[in-house]
Amino acid sequence: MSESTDLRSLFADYASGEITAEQLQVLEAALRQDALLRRDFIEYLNVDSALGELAALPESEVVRIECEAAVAAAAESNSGEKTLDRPSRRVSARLAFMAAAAALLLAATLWIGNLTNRPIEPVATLVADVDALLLREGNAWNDHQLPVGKYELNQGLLHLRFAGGVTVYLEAPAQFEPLSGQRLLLRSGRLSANVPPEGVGFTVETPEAEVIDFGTEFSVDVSASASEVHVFEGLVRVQPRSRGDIAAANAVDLRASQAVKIEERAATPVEIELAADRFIRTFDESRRRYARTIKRLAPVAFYQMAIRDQGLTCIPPEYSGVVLTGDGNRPPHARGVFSGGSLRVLADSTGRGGRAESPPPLRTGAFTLVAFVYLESRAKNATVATDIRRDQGSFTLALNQSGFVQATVRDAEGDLRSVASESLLPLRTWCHISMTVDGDQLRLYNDGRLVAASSSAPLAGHDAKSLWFGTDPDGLHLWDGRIDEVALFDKALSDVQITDLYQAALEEIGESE
Amino acid sequence: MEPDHNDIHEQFLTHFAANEPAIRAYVRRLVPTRHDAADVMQGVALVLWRKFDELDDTEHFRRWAFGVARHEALGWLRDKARSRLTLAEDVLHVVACESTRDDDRLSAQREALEGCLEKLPTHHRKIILAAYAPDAAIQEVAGQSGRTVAAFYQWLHRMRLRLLNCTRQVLQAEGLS
Repeated sequence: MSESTDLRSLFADYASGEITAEQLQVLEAALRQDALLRRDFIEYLNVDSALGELAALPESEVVRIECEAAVAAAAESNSGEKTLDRPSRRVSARLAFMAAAAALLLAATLWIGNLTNRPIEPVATLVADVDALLLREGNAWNDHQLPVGKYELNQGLLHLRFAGGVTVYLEAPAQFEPLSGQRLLLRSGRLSANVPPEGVGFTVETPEAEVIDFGTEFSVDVSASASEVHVFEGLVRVQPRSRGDIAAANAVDLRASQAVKIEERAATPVEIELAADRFIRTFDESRRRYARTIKRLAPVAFYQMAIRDQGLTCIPPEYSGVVLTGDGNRPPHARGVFSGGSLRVLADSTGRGGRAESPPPLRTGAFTLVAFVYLESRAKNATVATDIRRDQGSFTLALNQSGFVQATVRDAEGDLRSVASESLLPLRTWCHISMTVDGDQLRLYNDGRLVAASSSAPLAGHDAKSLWFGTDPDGLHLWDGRIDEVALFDKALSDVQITDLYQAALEEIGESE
Repeated sequence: MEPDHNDIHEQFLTHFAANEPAIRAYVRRLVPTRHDAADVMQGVALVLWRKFDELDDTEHFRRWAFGVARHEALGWLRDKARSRLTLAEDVLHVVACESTRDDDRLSAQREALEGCLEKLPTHHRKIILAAYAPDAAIQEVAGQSGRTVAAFYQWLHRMRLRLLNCTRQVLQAEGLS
């Protein structure tokens, strides 16, 4: 950023309309001469504009909220599902919850303060949470500073920061205890840590081992009878603990792409396969090669399945929606195909799919849907995305009753046309699936390759009221696994464009490995 | 067959909706305040619709809309020149050119902002969004945050710079800076 700090303070006066004539002259002259200051100025106002966009509640959102009660009631009676609230509706509940938590905290602080006359020092900071339900010593905890104590994360995701800029992502259900700014005990659950050079020496303890970091990115998974350590970058030392009659084995050093498991009843760590897909390692969505290639092709809607507290976000935001949830253990998000998250449906999670109440208009009769899918089981009749409800809507991408990927469209005559692949999707692997309609053919692609096609008239005029991901409109035919990077186009992409997209994805995955 | 009026209107709305945040941000970079930008945007939307049939290739909608928005913003500024303090036209021309040239990066920056905002402590995030909410009364938001209005503007300025730095770091990490 430009060094002209004083001049930058004039940006604020200018942006609030409070600038004086003299100040304006100074700013004007400086902007004429200084290209770096001009860049600061342009970006400052760009941020100002984007903050206005983020703070504004789009009209579609208001309509969605009005519709929500009726639709949610119907959905709940069908499947017992709940919706993850977006801020507009959760604010009052959350504020009430925060007020209660703050009162509890105040009472607890006074009580402990009286007993020990010693303030509680925070050892970690809460950077962000997604639908988190966090307890400390059995009481709701909603402060962004975390002192030493026993915590339970019963729902959602946490992003914490420790000393030296160490960042930790925790996924529910988890029990943990921050012991200091450099040390965290994970009793059960999953975490991922990113340790910059300033944080070297950060240690994660588990019941079975101590994991000491030497500047790296690693994940730890603690279950009832074992601890696993997975290293994605850098170097980590795993020191098994002595437990009962088991003497501590020698420490092992793990490097990038290595993983070990330490069983409760065994002394020595056993090498296991790296689980790159298991851990959420950041909340930030990738904006690299694949997303850029998608955007260049001008989709009408792009759902990156970002891990956000405000539901299912879309570019552009007016087509955003809600994440649907029901009973389960893990959050309705999982690691995505690239960095960031994906929508998790079933698969031991609370996820039951997603719904956008104001789907993008499809007007040309041509259409493309592109998505990444990750299947956990040999599911059948499982939905990836659909806007068809009874006699409305025009497309579905799903697994059919044989478990094959099937694309279905309603054509301009009102007839449903389908085409299916002839091979099953591999399990626990990301696959790139696309369907296109160009007014003549309905085509289905898997990993950039055309796998099936049949004749089809143009898509029916768009009258869909909603768009669903991972579920049908009745909360049935659920996906079992993950869905990511769903893009909708009001045109048919060509074979070459689909192949290019897949290539861009391969290159981005290659870059991150 | 000529597409009917409804089809054209729908086609326009699709393009406008998809590009509206970028056009609004472009206008924002040319006029002093957010309220000014909202004022100009009303006129821009109308002119874009009136001139939509002059656009040869809808693939270039955004670039074309920037041209219209620039013309409208400069016209608005000329009207206001006597009553308002606005930047000189030669400066605004350079700002407009550089804004168009850097559109991809500026769009990526706006997208990165959401993630950066989430990295702020929750109470900071809430205050910022309250200050930017439509029809927000700054006096009230400042009071709720325990600051005077002047101190609140200073704080908001520092938050904007912090967010700007964060978006730059995100873009740099992604090779977009």
